[in-house]
Amino acid sequence: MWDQVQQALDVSTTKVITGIANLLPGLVALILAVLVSFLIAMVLRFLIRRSLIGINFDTKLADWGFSGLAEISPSGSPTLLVVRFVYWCIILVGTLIGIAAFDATLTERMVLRIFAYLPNFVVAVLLILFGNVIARFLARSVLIGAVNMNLAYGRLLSLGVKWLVIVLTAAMALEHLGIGGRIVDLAFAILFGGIVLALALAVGLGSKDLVSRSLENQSIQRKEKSEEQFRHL
Amino acid sequence: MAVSDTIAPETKERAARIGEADLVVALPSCHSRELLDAAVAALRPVVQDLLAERKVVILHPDAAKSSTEESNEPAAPDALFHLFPYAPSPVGRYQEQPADQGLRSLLQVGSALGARASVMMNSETISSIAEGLRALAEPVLNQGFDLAVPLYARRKFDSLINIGIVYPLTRAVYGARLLYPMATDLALSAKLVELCLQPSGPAGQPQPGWITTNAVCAGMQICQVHRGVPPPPIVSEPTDLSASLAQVLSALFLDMERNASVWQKVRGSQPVRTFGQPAPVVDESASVDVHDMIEIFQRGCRDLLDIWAMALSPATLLDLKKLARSPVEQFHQSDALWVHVLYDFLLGHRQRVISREHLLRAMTPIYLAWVATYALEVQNSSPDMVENRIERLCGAFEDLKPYLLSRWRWPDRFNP
Repeated sequence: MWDQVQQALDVSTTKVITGIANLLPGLVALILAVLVSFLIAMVLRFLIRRSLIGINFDTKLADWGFSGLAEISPSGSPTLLVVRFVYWCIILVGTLIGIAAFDATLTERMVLRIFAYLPNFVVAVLLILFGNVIARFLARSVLIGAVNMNLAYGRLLSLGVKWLVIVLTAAMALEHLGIGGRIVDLAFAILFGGIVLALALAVGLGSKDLVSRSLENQSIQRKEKSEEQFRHL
Repeated sequence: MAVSDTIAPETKERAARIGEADLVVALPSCHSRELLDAAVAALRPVVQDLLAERKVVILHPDAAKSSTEESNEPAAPDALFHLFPYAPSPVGRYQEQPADQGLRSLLQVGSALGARASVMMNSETISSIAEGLRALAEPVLNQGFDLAVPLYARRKFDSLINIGIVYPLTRAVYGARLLYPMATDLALSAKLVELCLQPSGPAGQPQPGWITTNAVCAGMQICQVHRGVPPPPIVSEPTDLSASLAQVLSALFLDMERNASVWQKVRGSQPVRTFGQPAPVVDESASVDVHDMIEIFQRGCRDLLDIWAMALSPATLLDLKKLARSPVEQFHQSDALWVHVLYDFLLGHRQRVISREHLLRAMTPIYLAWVATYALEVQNSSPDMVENRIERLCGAFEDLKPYLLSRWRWPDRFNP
């Protein structure tokens, strides 16, 4: 009986050691791939950064009309954004190569799923990026317009517009990613509908007098302004 | 690409039928038959007096067909007086202002006909159009000037954007004391017309920018002609001040970017030859209410500080914050502060620190602070005192030009 126990132990030990021996090259390969990709990423980061600074990329981008990109970039520098993007892409590729060393079929399946999901991810990222730029642009437009019209709640209005656009784009992005399913749609519909209803109620009931007074003042002000003594042009 | 290539073929064809002309007059505001007939009748004696037996062409929008033209009779009873309708270009129909369409046609027809003088009469009324034409065309036709612009009698609260920004800035930058650089009534010589039609890009577009500043940069002979009180604008003034301000500043700043190589060499300013007698200015003393303007500035200082900080230097920003805290009775924006603000915004516009439209519109509260300061200062002043006040402002613009130059040339040395 002891012989059988010893044999079973030997077999299991051999199995574990063989497993570890099989796993070890893959693990070493993974670590090596990550390390190499890290080194390549570091070198490329340095080179790309130097080149972009050399050609004055940030200023050129602003000249081409993409000044909004600076606002969403780390430290306000699109150069840093490009550098970080390239850096993380290389790390990701290195990690995938490392995982492939473990089990080719597993990686193949994973890569296939990732690539199938990639268009959705890219669209979602683009949506978030553009939504952010548009939200900031609109918020700034509203703020400047409100101040120039001497409205008291310009900052609040601007903040409202900004978050409305961000929430809208976030909901769209989540839908593209397939996260949350119908809950996102429902939540967004409830939120958006709630805001519109609240505004309608505020204008229709609560602030009726305020709105009518404001409109009245505005028409009187316009009349006065047309007759005022300053001509700017 | 030659100058003649920028002229539309149909314009060339029509001009060939007329042959040559000595004077071309554009009347873009004559958009009805009655107005055109009245203007032609008013201009006839002046034209005969100025040119005797020479040909004259009157350009007008095609909507204003003359009654004589419709009945297939000659446009004018003699062969020396021609009417030349122009149609807006397919693009221009939607984008260009009537005055711009008129100016473009004037340049093309003036060049095609080889006119000695091309005159744009945009803002004169029928009663003053004849005198306006005589005053503007005479220096170009008989005294060898390349450009004549009107010099209107200054009223203290009129053309405030011109008084506070356009005149002092163009004077300091280009070195010519041209009081109305944005004037839409102009007389141009054949040489200046050719210069304006010189293709400026690979697509062969005519020279962009203001004719006045282009003429100054090209070293042309320029004069001003006294023309009474400025006429009311033909198109009603837009109620949105920030839109008007952004429009003017954008044109001015872009012009400066294009002409940077010229104006960086200019030091000081020179008076421009002036003809005619200045019209008497009514002494208007009236108390002004600037509370709204100051309130908008204070609101701007609370809400737009982040946007201003992208263009303004820290010292200027600090001064503006101090100004926002001062009571209405002591409200005073110094000339130096106003000049620094304008120069900083000009540089911010050039460097595109944010969307240019946003940047220019965000300047409205600071402009209103200047208007409030100016109004409080001159409300009870005589016309001479107002002139002195504006002269002091121009001096500040000229004194601080080295600041603009250094930041223009080395923008990276100083990043607010």
